[in-house]
Amino acid sequence: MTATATPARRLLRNPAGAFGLALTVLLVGAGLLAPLAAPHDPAAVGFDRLYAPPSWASPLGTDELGRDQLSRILYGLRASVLIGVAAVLMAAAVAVPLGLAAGYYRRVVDPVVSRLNDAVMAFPFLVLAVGLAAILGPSPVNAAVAIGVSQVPNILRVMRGEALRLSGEQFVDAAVAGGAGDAAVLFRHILPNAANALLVQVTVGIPAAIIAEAMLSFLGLGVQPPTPSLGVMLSSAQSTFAQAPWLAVFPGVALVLLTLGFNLLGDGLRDALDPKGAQR
Amino acid sequence: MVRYLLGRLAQAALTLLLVSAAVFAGLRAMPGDPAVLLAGEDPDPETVAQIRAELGLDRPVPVQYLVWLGRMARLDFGESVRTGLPVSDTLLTRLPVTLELALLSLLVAAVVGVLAGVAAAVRQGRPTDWAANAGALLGLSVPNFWLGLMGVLLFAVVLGWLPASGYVPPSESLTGNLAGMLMPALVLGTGLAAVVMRQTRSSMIEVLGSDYIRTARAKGLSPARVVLVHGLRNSMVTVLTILGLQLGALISGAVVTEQIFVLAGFGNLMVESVFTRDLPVVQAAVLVTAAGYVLVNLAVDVCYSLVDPRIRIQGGRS
Repeated sequence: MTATATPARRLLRNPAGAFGLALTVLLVGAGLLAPLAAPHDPAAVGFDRLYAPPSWASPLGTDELGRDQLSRILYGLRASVLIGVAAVLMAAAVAVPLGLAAGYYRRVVDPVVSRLNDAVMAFPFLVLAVGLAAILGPSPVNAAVAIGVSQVPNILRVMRGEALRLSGEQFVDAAVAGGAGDAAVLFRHILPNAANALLVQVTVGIPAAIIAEAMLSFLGLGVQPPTPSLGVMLSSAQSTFAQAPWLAVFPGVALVLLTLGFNLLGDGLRDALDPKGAQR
Repeated sequence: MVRYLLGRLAQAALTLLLVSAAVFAGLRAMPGDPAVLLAGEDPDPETVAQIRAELGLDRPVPVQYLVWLGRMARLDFGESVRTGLPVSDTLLTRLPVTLELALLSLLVAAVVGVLAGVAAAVRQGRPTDWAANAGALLGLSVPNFWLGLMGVLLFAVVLGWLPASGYVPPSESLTGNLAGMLMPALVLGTGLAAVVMRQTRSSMIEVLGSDYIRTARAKGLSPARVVLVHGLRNSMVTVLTILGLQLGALISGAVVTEQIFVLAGFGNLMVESVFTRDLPVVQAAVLVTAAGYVLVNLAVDVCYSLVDPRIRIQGGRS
């Protein structure tokens, strides 16, 4: 591995990272293209094919209403990806400015923000999700908000660290000496240099958010049936285990592959963007 | 030391106050006036005003909050809307199930995670290390509720070795209790074991490369003694922190695990009462979980400062 290779090249040369990228692109693509890729209408009920085992017509079998499972899984992947990504982006929108400010204004902002962040950090997000569902009713939006809140602390910590590290750099002094305002220093000079760390943290946050969404939908606190979602599918498969095990197996496999892809991609990106770390 | 503990105590109290204020505000923000709801159909304004006075809803909001807080602090959570039983009694019957589940999974996570982490660190770059890392990655990627479903499918439905669901109190049958808890504890412990393994591995690698380990080896101590006594002891601090940080994930995981294995625990109660809109129960469950979380974290920090004197001198983790 040469030191001059670009990060993209380094990612592709790392077998685990390249595999993660391929898996992520494949599953995210399949989910986003679900309306085109699905062989059947995911809502089409067929009482002549209840609990049909996998066959040519329905490669992954059908469910308790005779709906095609492959099509439902593709739409489920779509819901997982959209909610997971939306939650992490919401979290980033809050965490990036707060984290940068905490790392830059160490005396005034940092103590308050970091204390609050510590409090949110390990607070059980499910309790928050339960509270939101109790007050506002269970819905995908409320689930995404709860998941987003749970993702804020990790991103905030990383951005704070980056601002702390970069604010001592000469180019920041130069920008300040050149008359740049605080906002310009933070967002035009520090943020672009913290982009790598942000990218890694977001990539690592998405699989966690996806698992959280599936978990909430499984409990009935997220996506509501009959909308296809991997968590909802697993939840309804629970009661028909012995009869139709494929209903419990395949949505889970799809979920594992999706999160595995993102996790491998995140690890690969971390190594590719930090050449010193990769050589360790 | 005393100063550090007092500061930490104040912080814990503040967190609890914040959580309680959030819960109170959330309940107040709910649509619908409870007095109107209680007054029944077509209430006349006088009855509504009377009920409002009885409930204390005519007093200023900060006063209402303090009165409410006083009741919560005395563990007076009112009665369940659904069963009519005192909420605190219900909580007490549900709590042991969840505590047992949590402790058993912590045990699984600590034993499996630390052993795998140490093995991976000692055999860095070799097949053992590779296998442990692959296992950890899988443990992180497989959602615990699906692992639970597959466990039930394999061990209960196909093989019939373990019960699929239900809780047997240890007073009734200890073996029955453990048989029922084995799968839930393994399922809940897996993700945590993966995190502990990764952390143990990296801190052991760092510790094993340090000067005092070289000294210990040079003294002629046996490799096992060097690794287990000198090395592991120093990476325990990291593991302890991770367990503290993962407590929230453990609580969230317990809720789902109870749901899969139909254990009548705390999490199960919480989810159930959201669907039946049993707000006194939801409120109590959220508050008790938050309090438990804050107290355990406080305990972890205190243990942490006992293990590593640098922390109490500097006055906090950074």
